[in-house]
Amino acid sequence: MRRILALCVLILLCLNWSCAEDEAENTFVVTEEILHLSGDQIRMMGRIISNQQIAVTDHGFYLATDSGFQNPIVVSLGEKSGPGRFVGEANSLESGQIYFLKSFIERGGELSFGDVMELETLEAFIDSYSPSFGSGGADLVIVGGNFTEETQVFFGDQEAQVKSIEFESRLTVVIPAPVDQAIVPIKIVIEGESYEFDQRFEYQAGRYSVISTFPEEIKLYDNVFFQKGSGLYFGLGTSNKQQFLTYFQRYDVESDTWAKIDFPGSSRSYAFFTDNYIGGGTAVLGSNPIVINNSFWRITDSGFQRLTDLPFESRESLALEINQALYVFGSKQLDGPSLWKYEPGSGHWSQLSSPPADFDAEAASFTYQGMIYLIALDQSIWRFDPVLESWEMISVYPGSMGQGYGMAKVVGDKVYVGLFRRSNEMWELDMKTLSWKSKNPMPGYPQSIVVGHFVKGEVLYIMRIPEFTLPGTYPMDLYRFDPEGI
Amino acid sequence: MSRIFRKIVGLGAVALMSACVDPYEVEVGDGVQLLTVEGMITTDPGRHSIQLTRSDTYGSVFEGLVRPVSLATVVVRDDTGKVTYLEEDSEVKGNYLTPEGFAAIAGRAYTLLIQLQNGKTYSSLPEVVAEPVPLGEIDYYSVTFPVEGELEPDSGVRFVVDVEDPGNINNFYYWKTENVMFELNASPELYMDRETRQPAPKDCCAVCYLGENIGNRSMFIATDDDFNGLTSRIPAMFIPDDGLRFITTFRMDLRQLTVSSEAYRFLRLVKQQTELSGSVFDPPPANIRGNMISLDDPDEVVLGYFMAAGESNRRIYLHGDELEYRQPLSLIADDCRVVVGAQENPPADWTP
Repeated sequence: MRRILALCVLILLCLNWSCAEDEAENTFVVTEEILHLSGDQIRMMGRIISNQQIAVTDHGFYLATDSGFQNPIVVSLGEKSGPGRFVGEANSLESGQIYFLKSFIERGGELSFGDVMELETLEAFIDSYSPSFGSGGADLVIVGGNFTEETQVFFGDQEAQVKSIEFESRLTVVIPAPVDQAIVPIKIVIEGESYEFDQRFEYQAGRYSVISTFPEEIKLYDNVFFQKGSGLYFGLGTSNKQQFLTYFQRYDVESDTWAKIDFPGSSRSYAFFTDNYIGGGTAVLGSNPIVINNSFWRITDSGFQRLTDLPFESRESLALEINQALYVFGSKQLDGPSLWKYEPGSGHWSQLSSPPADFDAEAASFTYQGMIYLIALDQSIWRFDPVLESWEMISVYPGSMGQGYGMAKVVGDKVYVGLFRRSNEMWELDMKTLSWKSKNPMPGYPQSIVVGHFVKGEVLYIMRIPEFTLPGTYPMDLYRFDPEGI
Repeated sequence: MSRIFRKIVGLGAVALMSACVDPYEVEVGDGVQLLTVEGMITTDPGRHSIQLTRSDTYGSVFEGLVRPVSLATVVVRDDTGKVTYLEEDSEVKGNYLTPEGFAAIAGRAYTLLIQLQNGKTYSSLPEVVAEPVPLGEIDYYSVTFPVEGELEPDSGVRFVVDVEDPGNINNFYYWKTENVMFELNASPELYMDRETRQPAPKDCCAVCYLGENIGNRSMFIATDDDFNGLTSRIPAMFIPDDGLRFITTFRMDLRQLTVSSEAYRFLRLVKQQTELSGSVFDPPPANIRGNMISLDDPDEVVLGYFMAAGESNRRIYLHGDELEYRQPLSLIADDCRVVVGAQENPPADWTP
């Protein structure tokens, strides 16, 4: 009886098991989300949903410009085992175009598709760029959106090299060399569409051209230079710091000729000078001992006229003329700052209260609208009012001060400052806005010293010579500097 | 005799059984270092932050340390293709900040893109920014919770907001606080010298200002399923009373965020998981999927959620004497400046 009962239980169990039906496989694919859409690129996500650990021979996406998917772009991601998400990417789409998207899986040669999504690729746009000022060869970054791989950038008519496109929104390009214009439009061309910034790009300008060479093979140091009409005078000082020059060489800008002009006074180095005066300096070579030349000369149209000797010892002083008066700043013979004023009418020298910084020949200086401006070695720019005898700091020189002894020249409302020893930098200061703009650096050795600088019309004339420590002979080239030249 | 013998045998057996109890060492497997993304952008102009970290083995810092993910390129891109670069915070590694004044635009969809130093790229699913819903009246009152075996109940301040819910759409709300600060009251005149144990009153300082990061441990979320288009009073924040915060003046910024339905679902699940109490009615622990995805391996688990929300906020100053119940004063018998983080002068934006 027990056996029969056990057998019945066993049969019942078997019957129960046989009643359990196999769960039917349920597999489908869905087009889940568009993760990223731009002008030419789409990144999309799909998902295989299944109650089985299935394997597909291929999966991916269909993209087409028509809802019937007649000529689809197939993004094939290959085999996949098991359900789950998948991400596909398509490039080279047309911007501003409507596309239809669906996901697919292929199993046993049979295709299954997910739902269809409609999308429109985006149009490119531009936002900003920086810097708006620079020189050829530097990088420039353009910010916008939906830039494609085929994006072209033009500076005027010059095509720029595109270095990188980050997140289709940040273009880094190499600024092409300028051709003939300093200010050019920046244009971006994407798939034939052109986009132009309102703000134009400005090239760093400043063209240096050699117009002549000093007529002697010497290296002139610690010299005097001044300008009379079209004549640029270079002289006194020493040749190679070994021999005094007793004369001047005059370059005539108009006739492009050189002429030797004798100086009736004694030789000297480290004298102060303007276009009308020469004074002070050292009377003998070397510094042991330092012998000061106290003679003071006026430069006239016909030659040189000696005036009463200086009432103070001057070596490497800085001289400026304004309001028919001569102002002499500092002297290496003195400790601390000093300022002397010479009035030619009376021939009287007076000492004024000391300036706020130790200005001497190391400082660059200029005059503008009745004021004297001096650039101290700490880069601060001071304005001296000769009427009120007051000082005010107005700006800071942004460039390198090198080892001092730079130049500053005024053309209209712009001042060109730079070429301090061991620096080739040239900067433009707009006196109306007190804003700075860098100019192209001067060619040649940075370890150079200014021999002379002049302004005539809208251009500057500059002569530099490598430092005494640089061995060898170097021609003393006279450069014409066009601040706006390209 | 046999009774005594039996007792000895019995005791011996008990002793042997107790000797068999072995301490149970919980062994936690090495945790996978998963990228974790946490942060949001909102319609409120400012610097919004995204934090990137790597998860590690559960346990003490000796088991594993949650490390910031530094030097990543993090951008937020809207559905027009406008990309905003986030800058890594120089003070907090792994914290990436939008530029000053950045604000998400309601109605736009935003995607977070992350490129790690190893070249791996991650993207969020697009998050659509919902319109911000203006903050209505904010009310607050003290609430108490009896504690077994204690005379004084626990207490805190509950903040309730009037939500004037727009009826045209389904809204999902999330409330957070920031800029929590209060006057820290101390009694420097009661200072006792620790060595001599003699009174040594100090001249300064009785009042300081202490900033805190509290209130966001619990999640305050709501959906307008039950009050769509109606005005409703919703608990939006709870600040526990520690005997210091509500003595005089307390302030906080209450942010009302309107998040997406997906973000709400994520927050609800996180809230459920963080509020598990061990009850039989608790939901089972589960791995909560965020909205970040690895573009190199879509099956890679990325934790966290990138949210884009509409935001309205308001600064609230609360005076302790307005509360019905406050915890007994926690006495600081010293200069208040000894408390870590306390500052003597109020910040410039302290305008109670």
